Amino acid sequence: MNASEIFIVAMAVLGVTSLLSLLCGSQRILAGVLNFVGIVLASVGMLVLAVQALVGGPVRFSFGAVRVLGLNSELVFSIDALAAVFLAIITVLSTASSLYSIRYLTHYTREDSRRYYFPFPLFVAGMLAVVTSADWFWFLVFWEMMTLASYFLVMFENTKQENLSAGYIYFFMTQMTSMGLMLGVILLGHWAGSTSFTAVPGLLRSLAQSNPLALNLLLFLFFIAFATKAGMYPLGIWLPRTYPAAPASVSALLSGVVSKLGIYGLLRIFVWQLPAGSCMQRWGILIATFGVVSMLMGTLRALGEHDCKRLLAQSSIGQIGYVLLGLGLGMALMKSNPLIAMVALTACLYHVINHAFFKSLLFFNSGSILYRTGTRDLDSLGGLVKLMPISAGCAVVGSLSIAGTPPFNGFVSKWLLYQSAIFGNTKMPLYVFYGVIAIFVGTLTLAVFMKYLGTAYLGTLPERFANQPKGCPLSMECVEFSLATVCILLGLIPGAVTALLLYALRPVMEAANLPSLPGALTALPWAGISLQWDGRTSAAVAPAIVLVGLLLCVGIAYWIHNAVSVAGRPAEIWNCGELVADEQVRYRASSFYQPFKKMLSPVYREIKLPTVSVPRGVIRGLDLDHWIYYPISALFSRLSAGCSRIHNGVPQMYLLWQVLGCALSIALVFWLAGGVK
Amino acid sequence: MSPRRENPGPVSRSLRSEGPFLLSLLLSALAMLGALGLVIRSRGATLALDMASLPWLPTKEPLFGIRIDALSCLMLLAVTVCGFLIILYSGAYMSRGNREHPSERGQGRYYFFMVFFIAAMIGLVCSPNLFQLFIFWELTTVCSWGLISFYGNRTALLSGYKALLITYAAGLFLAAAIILVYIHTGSFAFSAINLLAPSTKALVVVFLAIAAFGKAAQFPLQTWLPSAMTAPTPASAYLHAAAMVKAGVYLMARLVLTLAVFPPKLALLFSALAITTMFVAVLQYVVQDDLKRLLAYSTIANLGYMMLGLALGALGSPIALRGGLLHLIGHAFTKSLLFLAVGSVSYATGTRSIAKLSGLGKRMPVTALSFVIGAMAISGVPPFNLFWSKFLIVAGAIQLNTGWGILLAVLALAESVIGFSCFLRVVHKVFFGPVSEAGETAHDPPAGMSTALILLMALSLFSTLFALPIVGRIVQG
Repeated sequence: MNASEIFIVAMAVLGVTSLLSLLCGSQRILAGVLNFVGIVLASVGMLVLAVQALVGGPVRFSFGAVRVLGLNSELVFSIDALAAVFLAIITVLSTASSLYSIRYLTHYTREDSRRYYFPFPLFVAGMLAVVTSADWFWFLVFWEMMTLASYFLVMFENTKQENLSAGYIYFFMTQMTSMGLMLGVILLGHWAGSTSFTAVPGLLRSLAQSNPLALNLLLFLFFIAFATKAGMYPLGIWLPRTYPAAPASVSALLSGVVSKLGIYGLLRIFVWQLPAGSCMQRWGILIATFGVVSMLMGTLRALGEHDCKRLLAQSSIGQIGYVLLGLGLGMALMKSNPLIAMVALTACLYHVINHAFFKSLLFFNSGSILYRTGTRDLDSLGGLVKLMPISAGCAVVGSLSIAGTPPFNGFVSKWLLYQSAIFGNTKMPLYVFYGVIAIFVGTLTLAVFMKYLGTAYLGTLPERFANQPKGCPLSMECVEFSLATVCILLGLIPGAVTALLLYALRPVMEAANLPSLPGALTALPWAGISLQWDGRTSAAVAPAIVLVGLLLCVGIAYWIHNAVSVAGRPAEIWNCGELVADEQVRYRASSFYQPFKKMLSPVYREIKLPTVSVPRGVIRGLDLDHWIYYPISALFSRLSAGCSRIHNGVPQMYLLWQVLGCALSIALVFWLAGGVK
Repeated sequence: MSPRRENPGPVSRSLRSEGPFLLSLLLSALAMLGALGLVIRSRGATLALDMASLPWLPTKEPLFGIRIDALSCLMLLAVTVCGFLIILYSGAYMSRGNREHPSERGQGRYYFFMVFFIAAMIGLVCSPNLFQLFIFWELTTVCSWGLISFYGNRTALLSGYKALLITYAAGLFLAAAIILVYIHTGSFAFSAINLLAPSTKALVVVFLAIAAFGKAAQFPLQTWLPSAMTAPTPASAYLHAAAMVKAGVYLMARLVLTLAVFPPKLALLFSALAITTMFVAVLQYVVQDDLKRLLAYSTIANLGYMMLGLALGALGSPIALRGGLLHLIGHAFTKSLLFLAVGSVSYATGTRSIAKLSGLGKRMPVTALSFVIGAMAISGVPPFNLFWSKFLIVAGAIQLNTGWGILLAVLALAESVIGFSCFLRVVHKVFFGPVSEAGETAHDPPAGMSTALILLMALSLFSTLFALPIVGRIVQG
């Protein structure tokens, strides 16, 4: 089969899966398994294409121009290395999520599972089509279809009031910005004569010279749409509402993949298609600034959350900030210091991959908590490590990864990011400052996830969970376990990942006149990476060594622990003789980080969407009946009422009218005849 | 009274009550099949059949006849397919099972007006000249009056009267325009307008546009449409989705397609009126509590979209013209779907008040899905049909390459966003959330109604596929 056939078959499989799920009726498990099989098949196909693209260069296939729309758009798909990276993320995580859904969905006993399994494959198909399409018009179409399908998934549990407003805000904000994107695509098509990816760079280049205002307007429309989807602060205010509303398997995909597609869009237009120059630099600084704001706000707000999915959602805003900072730095430095720009872009892409995996792992984890305990409120949780040890272990991996602790994956991307921020342009203190903030936010993230781990998994297990069955269904634990493994692997072999990402970045390097990266970022023999500029190694990271060191330390600690074994001495809590249950004196999630919440109270203020209401006066003013048509008809009525007064039934009056009428007629005749001769 | 008359056999009773329905279903099915056959056979070529003339009205070409070109085909599809589906739906709706209007009285009158309406619309879109068009034009007005005041209560009578008055007054301008054309050229042909002197031509165009604006409920003549919601819901669906209002759009489209040179200033004016209409209507969405009135204002706004597309086409953008025509047919199916979904809601719950309804999705999934799909389609979410037409209209506005064009594009998109947010709010309120008291015993409507809904859902999804080739034939190049 050639590429286009594989693609069509994969899409068809997803479509058929979606239709077949309707036949499953109330057979949840059957529908889930079917869904899983369909997605695995499609994923394998798309992964084959991705591998082809990575090995043999871009895979491109077209289904012909669609000229009848008048827009010169072409239904063309192209998988380059960048798309291949995103394809890998989408396929792996969709498969994981569909496997997780099989059992997870069984605890939604009151909802019809067809409302989940019908849109799910379409959602996956939409995501796959978004990253493969090579024409902005079709990108927009698939983008919207993906949003539509995801909206139905978010609204799965639609009887709860808070879910309703969550779904509303999600769909409204993305649709509003998509309309901007639509305008942008139309402008693009109009100016460039075609919406194909190949036509855009030329247009942007000529616009940069002839009409910078138009260029900036265009970029603004794209930026808003993609940044909203990515969840950048403040456009991402829908995240903390929407992610908790969706089933965990969907929030994992929303946070892990859909937000990344926003980044994909930004990369496509700003890095792959916008020529390097002052425009790119300005937008780079802007994006980096938004990134820093977003990482700071998101993570600080995450500190204050005690609903575990809201916490994860806020932290997503923060982590997207890292990605945006990498992207922004890459763009800002593209002209002046392309080498470091590449490091920043590598960091951006690396963090995209990392965040996709650890954040979806954490969402699956929170889903497991909900599945087992029926609540997402960290205040009422605790000691779950006894109940679900595997999930607890995965949560530790996820938390350490997101906090950027070596040797987990988050560390590598953040490290690359810090390097590029600090060494990017030492004369520009702004970048260094951003780097410092990023490092600070790293510690904040650790604080956030210590709270998550501590309140959910450690401490005493509340009485009411004591009789719950242990662990989660195997399929769910399997998903968490594999994602945790991926997180560790991505941290242990950064050399291979960096090599892949640098390969993906090759077109950008060529555009920036960097034929190759002469040793700036090299893979070390033991799977590490080293950064070199000015001919010397400025920094290196070798997770294997770190791991060995860590293991050694753990061994020593374990040895000490055994050597000086002191028996534990559990005791009742002493409260002046009063007996207090463990439950009552627990250090709860809401009690964490009070100083932050007090000192930075503006940060924690709830952002409300402005509600628009049309003044009644305007409505009445628009109602033409009230001040045009009804007055006119009233006038007619009054006129005819006046006329009818003539009909008073008195014969003398009628005679008078007759006489007057005759006189008038005679006068008229005389006047018409020209007077008396 | 004899016992035999009180207890007629099941067959004769069903025949008496179902007779009008079955007959009109048969007739509308025949009309639909005929229309489909014609559309497939003509393949964009113009079919013409001359029939008769009047001895006292000398014209260059026969006065009566049939002329079917691609535009007529497009209209025929909308008119007959929606007509058939709506009659199919009416069978169960106009019954005692209907909680809002549990009555079977006046069935004959209802079906008479419905079928007559379909016939009048077919006659209108097949007219070879302005004269015949005018006759059918007024017939549709009469039918709409009969349907709007069907229930015969005071508001229904007043609303019917209002609709009659406004569209009839606008129709007088059509008559005036036709007389002007005839006096100056001795012909009633559409193309005769091209032969007029520029000033007369402008006057004729304005007169025709007034007629079209009245019929298509455009600002400032839109007020009859919201009050026309007193009609039985299937009739509203037909009036406001496929038939009555589309006649106005059809006239405008005919005008734009026929005129070799459309007066540019008038085109600008019409585009301004269209965008005003859209905003006047969309601002009313917010305060509506009656589902049908919401749809009424949405109809006005969408007719504004069509008129905008046509006006932009007149300004020289073929893309927008295509978009306007595509919107015409897409809207016919989508708005029928929405009206019929609301009809199902009121059929099952007895109310159309948004405030009283909640959580219907659990009780009536087919209806809920219909409304949700309709709402998505009408807001221009791909892959539904109205996305493509809205896209083309906006792209056409940009294609004009003027500041006005860009402003129109932005405003049209803004209207789309506002409309979307209102529809989404209604979807959430009415179909999601906890089940309200009114929805407690609701259930999906009988098979006939559900079938119509399901078919219209499919059409809302796929209509672009078959409409686009036809539209491509209407506007070439």
